[in-house]
Amino acid sequence: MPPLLISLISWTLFILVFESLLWVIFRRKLVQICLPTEPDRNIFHFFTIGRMWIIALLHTVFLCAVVIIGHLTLWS
Amino acid sequence: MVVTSSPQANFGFQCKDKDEAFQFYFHQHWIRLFWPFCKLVAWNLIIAAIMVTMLVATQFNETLTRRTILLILTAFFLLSHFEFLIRFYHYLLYIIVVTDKRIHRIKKTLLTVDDHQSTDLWVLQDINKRQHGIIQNILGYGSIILEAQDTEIRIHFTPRITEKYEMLTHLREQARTQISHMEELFRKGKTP
Repeated sequence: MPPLLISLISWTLFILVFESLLWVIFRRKLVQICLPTEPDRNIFHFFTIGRMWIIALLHTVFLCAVVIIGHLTLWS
Repeated sequence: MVVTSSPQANFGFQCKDKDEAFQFYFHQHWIRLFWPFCKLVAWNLIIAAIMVTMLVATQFNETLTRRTILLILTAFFLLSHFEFLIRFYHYLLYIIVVTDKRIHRIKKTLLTVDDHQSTDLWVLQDINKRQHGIIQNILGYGSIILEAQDTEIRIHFTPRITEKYEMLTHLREQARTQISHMEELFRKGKTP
């Protein structure tokens, strides 16, 4: 396996694992704080769990993209 | 980021008493994230500048040097982003919930802190508002200090502080009226 691919896979895995870990811990703590009992009204006005999940997902994709582009540009 | 609600709104939150009616909640002011965000931008600019230099300059032609620098840059890039993300999560995990009876200060971090402090509104002797400095006055945030007999709660970086101060004062008066009414009923019930 070429070293570039090994490096890219390692960094991507690291990002995915770390982001997932942070998200799981955050979600668990957030749910402990408050849960809306009315389905149409969420106590977290804008930052609902669904929106936060999308933000976390976009952040993960952004980090992976920057790392991949950086490596492809500067590796050799 | 503030939601006000009618007392009938049925919100559930950590350690909520069944008789409590949710009034409003708030996070700290967004300025709390301003410095971490500036740090993140600064780090990213530095990393981008080094990457451009590596592309342009001829000193970095050696493969090992390039790869070592790339490794260090990637590590710093990810570190800066994860640091900001953790701070953002911490920001969302610090919440003040006000009900008609109590003020709940819920403060959590991802791993180490899990605090919940509740204070009855009617026991509050003083509610103080502090806004020091130009930035605090322009952006309308500051500290609210709630003083009871033995305890003192300081809520820093309170957004729209004047509005919150007025709401808290009003709710305290309501809570006191309720308590005195209940005491009166209790006395009437006890005395023959």
